[in-house]
Amino acid sequence: MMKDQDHDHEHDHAESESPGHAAPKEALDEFAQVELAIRELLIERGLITQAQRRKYLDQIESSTSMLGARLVAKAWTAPDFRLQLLADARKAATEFLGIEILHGPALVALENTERMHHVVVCTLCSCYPKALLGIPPDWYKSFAYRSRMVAEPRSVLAQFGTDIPDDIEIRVVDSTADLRYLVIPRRPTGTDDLDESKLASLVTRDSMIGVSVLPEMRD
Amino acid sequence: MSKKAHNDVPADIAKGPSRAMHDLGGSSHAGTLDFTPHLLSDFERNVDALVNLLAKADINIVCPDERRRGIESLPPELYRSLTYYQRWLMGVKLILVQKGVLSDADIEQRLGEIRQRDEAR
Repeated sequence: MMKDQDHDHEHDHAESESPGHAAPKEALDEFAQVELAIRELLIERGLITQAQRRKYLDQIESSTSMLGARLVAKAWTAPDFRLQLLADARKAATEFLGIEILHGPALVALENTERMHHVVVCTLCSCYPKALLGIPPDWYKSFAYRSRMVAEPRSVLAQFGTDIPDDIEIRVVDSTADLRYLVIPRRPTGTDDLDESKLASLVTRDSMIGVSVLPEMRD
Repeated sequence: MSKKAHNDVPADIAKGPSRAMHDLGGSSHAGTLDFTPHLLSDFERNVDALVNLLAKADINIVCPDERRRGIESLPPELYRSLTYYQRWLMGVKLILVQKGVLSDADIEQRLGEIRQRDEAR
């Protein structure tokens, strides 16, 4: 069990460069103290370890929407994979990306078409396919987005600079702790010559939440 | 403590008893979206790590549904006044105590020690 030798650097922040002698840091606020108290107790009792914590912090520092983008580009270029992704996104993502999300919440991929545009919200909290898209942006967690998107999607989308033509139906889907969504944006015109990795580089986080569409490519 | 527009309370939520405080879908909300990029602070990263480690399959002490129940059990005034990660922290603390993983006394005692260490620096 990890014991007291951890304490000296434990109450420096994890990202601190200082090995302990250190210029005095600002005192922790009330909530940071609560987090530290809980963390220390859980580590001392062997319920979590410092190593697990470091690994997780490293992962969130490194997380981006690139994994989601690779799924989208693959679905655009491989018809079989597209069908697998639409049928069982969690299984298809696990197999293709070699990441383990099978024990996480269910995942559904929703394909935007010339008739239907999908947008994801979590009205109750902030459920989001973090394994594929990274940490959710602040606006996704905001009371304004959570309350308004289901009621007035076109005006909320307008705030993102996104104008969906009136003849395209907008379907807003509400995530839960047990079910997450990934939007497959429409492939931009003018990208026929691009390979899968080039295509993946075009796919943005916002387009996979459904708050933006990908711009056409022209030459 | 920095407060953002997203902590404004929609009028119909504030008035009516018919909705839980977290049930925001479709409620009228005058707030506009704030697109300011936001890098996680140390505190926010630490809470994210704590909460998500507790939910990991091989640790499984507080699962996502329990975490959500914890947040939704916070007093409405507290829920509205806290920032996003403060809500996560207080929600997970509630569940840890309810499940007997930690006691309030354990946490209080450790908080006392932490404050002393802080002052000694």
